[in-house]
Amino acid sequence: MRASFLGFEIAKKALNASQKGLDVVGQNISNVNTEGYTRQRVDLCAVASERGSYFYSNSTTADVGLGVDVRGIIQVRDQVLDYKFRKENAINNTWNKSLSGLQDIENIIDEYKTAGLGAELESFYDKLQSFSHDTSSIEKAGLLRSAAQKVSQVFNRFSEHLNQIKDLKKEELGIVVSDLNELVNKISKLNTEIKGALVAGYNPNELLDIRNTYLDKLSGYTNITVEAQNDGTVAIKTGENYLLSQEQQINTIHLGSGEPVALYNSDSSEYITANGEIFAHLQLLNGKGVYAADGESQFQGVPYYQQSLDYLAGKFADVFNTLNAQDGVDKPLFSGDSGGNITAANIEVSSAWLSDAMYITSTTETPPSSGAADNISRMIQEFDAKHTISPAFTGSFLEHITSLNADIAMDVSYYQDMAETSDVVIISVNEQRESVTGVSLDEESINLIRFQKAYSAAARVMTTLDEALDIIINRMGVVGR
Amino acid sequence: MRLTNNLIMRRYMKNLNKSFDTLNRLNSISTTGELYTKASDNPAATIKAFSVRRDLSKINLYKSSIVDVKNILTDVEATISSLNDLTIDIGTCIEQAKNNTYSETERKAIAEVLKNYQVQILNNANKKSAGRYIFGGTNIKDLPFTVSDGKLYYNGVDVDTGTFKDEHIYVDLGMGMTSSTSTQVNDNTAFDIAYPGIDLLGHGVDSDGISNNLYNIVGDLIEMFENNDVSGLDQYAAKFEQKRSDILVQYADIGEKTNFVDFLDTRLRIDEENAYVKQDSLEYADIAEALMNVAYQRFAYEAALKVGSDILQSSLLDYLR
Repeated sequence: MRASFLGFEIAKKALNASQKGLDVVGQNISNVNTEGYTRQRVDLCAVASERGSYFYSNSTTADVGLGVDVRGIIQVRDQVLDYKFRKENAINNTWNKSLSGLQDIENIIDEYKTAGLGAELESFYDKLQSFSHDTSSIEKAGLLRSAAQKVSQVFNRFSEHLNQIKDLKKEELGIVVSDLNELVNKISKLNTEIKGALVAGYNPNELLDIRNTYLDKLSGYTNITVEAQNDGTVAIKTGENYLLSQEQQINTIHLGSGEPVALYNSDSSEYITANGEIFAHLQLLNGKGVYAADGESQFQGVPYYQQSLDYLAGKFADVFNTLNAQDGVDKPLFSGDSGGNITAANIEVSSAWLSDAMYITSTTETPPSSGAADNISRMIQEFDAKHTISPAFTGSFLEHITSLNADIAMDVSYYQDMAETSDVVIISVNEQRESVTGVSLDEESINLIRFQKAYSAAARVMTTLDEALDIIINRMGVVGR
Repeated sequence: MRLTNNLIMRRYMKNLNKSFDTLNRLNSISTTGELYTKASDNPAATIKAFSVRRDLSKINLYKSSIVDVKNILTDVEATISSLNDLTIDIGTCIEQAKNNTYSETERKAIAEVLKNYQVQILNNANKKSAGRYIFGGTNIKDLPFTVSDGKLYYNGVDVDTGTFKDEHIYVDLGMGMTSSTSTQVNDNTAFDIAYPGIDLLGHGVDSDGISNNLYNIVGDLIEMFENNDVSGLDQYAAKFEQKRSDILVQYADIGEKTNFVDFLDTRLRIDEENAYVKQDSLEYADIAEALMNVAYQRFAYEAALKVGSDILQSSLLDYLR
């Protein structure tokens, strides 16, 4: 026997479901511009009639279902696309952040539009030539010494600027690391809340969206693999190191203070990263190019350029100091630190030369005549000659500078191209993701119509049932009224 | 693929940005005429451009060195020309004295005239050019020729009895300066601007005991005329003729050197021209082409703006009641 008010229940459920549908449409439309929002959908299912397991229950073949049930509000998201995006994001950040660092170096070294080390060395060479015409001229000797001073000053300035880049990048790295730690913390808290929500039986869609945004941001810093667990929590790992373990233990990363720059886990083992912003900063800070030993980064980063300039300054000073000796007595034109080591940071014109412009040895003939310029000719030839400036470079001084310019130009050009390509890829992945999770106003407006019509129809059913019951209640069995 | 509003808008923004970026870049090329602002814009071309710039810088250096050298050569030539005139005058004097019989007073007068000429010879040999003595060899600061007790000294050494070594001051004029040993520059790879005065005037004594030095020869002649003893006049006259042709030879030599420097100068100008052409093709844009590109890109950008206004406006909601 059918229950009297069963129909009302069914209609009520239908009204509820349509209401819910309209609510969800409202939610989607209001969040059309929200960053990271995943569109939501009502999950409806038809309720089967409760015949249960009674073998002797009073069943007929004309049993009707018990209406519609809102099983939940689910979000439409594709895990695979998330995984693709996060992988690509790390790579994209490697290219872009490395490019930005390389461009900082380029601003120092590139001489295409600005006068740099090459220009000052050429000026020194010009003054040397001019001096050879008249080695008794104090003015020309003074000009030569000024040119030498400028060369030293440019060396010093380049070295200082490279150091500044290094300091800035370290600071940036520190900020990124603390941001990373904070994100991991926040994700861990969200994990707890999401787990609780799932246990309580509802879909924490908004929390999931927030967690996904954090994970996306994290993927830019370092290469992560997200492991989804059955209880709704996630574990995050980089390579073999867990940032957030399956037991929800947090691994706090910190920046080491030594050289080379490295990051360490809570247990003091090294935190190895293969992609992402952290990796980009690390290779810029540690890369030694051709001077790298086994296991060291071969990226042409700040240390590579610092070492190259040090080799050049040392060789330049060495060649001229050796040539300036007279009668077996050393007369150094350039000096460095108190131990006699000359680097790009400390090279300067010697105090002996500063106090006497004619300190430069123009002739080694005895007795020296006022116009003899044989030693200056020697200096001119040595300037153009090929020297072994570093273990990796043999050539003239100017050729070395051109090669440094070529190195940074080609690196920047290469990274620019790779960054552009990677940008195209990540935009494409993002579009794929957006296509699945994004809100389409056209679609939502159709849903509006759908649910609104369903609501009207369910209300109609209610009215019909009401009228039907009305007959039973008020008009059946009333005789003669 | 399912399209959402965000997707369409982002795509549109990205393409618009790209179009505007290109417009900017082309604009800057057409205004400055330069294709690149940094070496990384085109490493292959800009590194070649660096090499061309170094060449140009060297050419400029050699050009200014040549100016210095030419100035010296001009002064040297003027001096030798002066000396040449002097020797002509002295020669006439001697010829006259040889052919006529003069009295003692007349001979004394000739001696005075010759003394005058001798002083001029000395002045010429001690000539300065732009603050340096040009006939002192490697000595450019102190007076090359000095007279003491009637004897001529070159850089402090007696010209008749002293020994003199080779003196060179080599200037790099882009002939590929190299050295054979650690001390000596190869003579044909650089330009020598040292003119030792002893080569100019002569030094030492010949087999007949007569000085090879012009100044000293004139000095001897002066003595002969003052002491009224012209017995050796014929011998000295012959010697003097020899000295005169020596001077002429030096005059021709200087002419040759000047021609050589002019030749270097011309060659440098050609090299410079070629280098500028190379630089132009590497670093600079064809203005006509650049302007055309800008115009086309501007058109493309405005078309994009217009299309955008159509896409972004409507959705289904606009058409529902």
